Amino acid sequence: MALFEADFLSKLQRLALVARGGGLPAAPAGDLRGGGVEPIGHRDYSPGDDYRRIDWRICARHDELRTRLFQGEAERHVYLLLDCSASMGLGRPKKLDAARQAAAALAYASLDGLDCVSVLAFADRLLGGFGPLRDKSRFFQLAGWLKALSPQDRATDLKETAAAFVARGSQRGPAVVLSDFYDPAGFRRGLDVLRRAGYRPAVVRIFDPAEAEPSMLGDWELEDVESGLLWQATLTERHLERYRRAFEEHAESLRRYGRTYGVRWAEVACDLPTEEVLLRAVGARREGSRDSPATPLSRLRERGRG
Amino acid sequence: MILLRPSALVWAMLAVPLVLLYLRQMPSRRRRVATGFLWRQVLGDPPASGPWWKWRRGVSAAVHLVVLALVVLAMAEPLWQPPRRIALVIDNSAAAGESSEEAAPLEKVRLLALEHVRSLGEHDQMAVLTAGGRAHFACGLTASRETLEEAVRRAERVEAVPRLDEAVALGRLVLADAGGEVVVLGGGSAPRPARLPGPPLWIWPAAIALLIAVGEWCLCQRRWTC
Repeated sequence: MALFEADFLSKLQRLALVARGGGLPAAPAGDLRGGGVEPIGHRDYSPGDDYRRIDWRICARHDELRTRLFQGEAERHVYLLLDCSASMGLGRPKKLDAARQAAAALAYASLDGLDCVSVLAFADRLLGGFGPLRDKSRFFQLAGWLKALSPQDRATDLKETAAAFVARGSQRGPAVVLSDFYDPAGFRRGLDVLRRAGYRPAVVRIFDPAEAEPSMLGDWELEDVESGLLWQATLTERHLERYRRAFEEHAESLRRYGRTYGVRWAEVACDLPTEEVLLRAVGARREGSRDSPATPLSRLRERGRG
Repeated sequence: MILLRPSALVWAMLAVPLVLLYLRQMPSRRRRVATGFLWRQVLGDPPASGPWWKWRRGVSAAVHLVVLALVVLAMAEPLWQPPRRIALVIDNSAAAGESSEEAAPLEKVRLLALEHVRSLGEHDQMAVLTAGGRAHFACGLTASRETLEEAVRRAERVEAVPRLDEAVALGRLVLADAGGEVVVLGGGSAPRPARLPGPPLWIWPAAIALLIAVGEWCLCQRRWTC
């Protein structure tokens, strides 16, 4: 299955409209500084730009749509931290594939909102990055960069990654972490570093349903892909029940962290259809919610049929 | 040791499919997991692989083969010694009680004969002969204790001369094909029976097999991890 299908961009465009309702990268109301008055230039109109920023005189004179840019206007910077550790290479399909699709969706939604986007790959440290992007003209380059990413034979260290990211001294803004959060040292330390440094962390947890419900009974050798530890055990129903509880507790602890510290979060199963992955990534759909006729997506579909 | 039912040994052929089953299950399956930190919570720190893991299934197969061997042995009904065959000669003549103070009266002989009957094992056989007057069979060669005890009780005192030699010869005749011993009670002879036999030998392998099976079930129910 192709990572970015032929109609992926059209899906993203529809998604961007939905995400404007308040997705993951959206800033809380009243948080954006700005409202600068001195114009510093123009750029090409992108679908979704605020109509009030269109320079109508240029439009009347040259028959072109151009959007004004103002000095002092807060250019919000959104950071996407993409986990490329060894654990992201497991799953059917691979969790990294879902993470890349989600990262593309978030990047497009952010660009659509006139935000600046940087995407960084990490495992036990920062591995590289792409950006910053300021408009959608380079989006396809970003897609190519995401396609070229592969799972690294490294462990996950969120704290080290967050510390290295903060040390770059980048402009403060939302930092969306796309990961399975299988850090043996725990996810809290890494997210705490981001929070205390002024970056507003958001979480997109990617998981494989088979990891939540393993069906292994009998003699097994279990090898951890990141640490290389090997367990030789006879697995019984009791073991599997304890594992399921531990897995659910891990997921619940992440949700609890989000509720406690106001961290926005989304959960994406890697085996979901692409459209579902995109919707959940931008936070337009929570797990277990239904697509009722009142949602923006259904209204878009209705409009498409018309 | 001898086996009363050697045909039961054919059940030992079950060892073949048992071994094949274990050979088929021998290789452990390996899986790479991303949630090693969760498995550590469930299984604890991974143990260093040692010979125990490699030979675990072999030991389990050996235990099951031992259980099978014990069950088959129990089914074959082993005996440490061949079954006994005894010709018991009772002197029920009137002269036996009167001639000597050392001679046992008939009642004492009868009680002693009953002791001999009760000392018989499950597969032992006995014939009861009386020697008062003309020697004759009170009971033919049988393993039935009830029949033998009834024959002993029916032995009445006979007003006649004892014919012990005749009774002994008759006893030897009935034991001629497979051997045995002739025991004479009365006429100055009162041998005590051998010690009462214990429970049948097949009980021991069956009990050990059952203990092993119960022990393995208990271990499995506890869902232990090695």
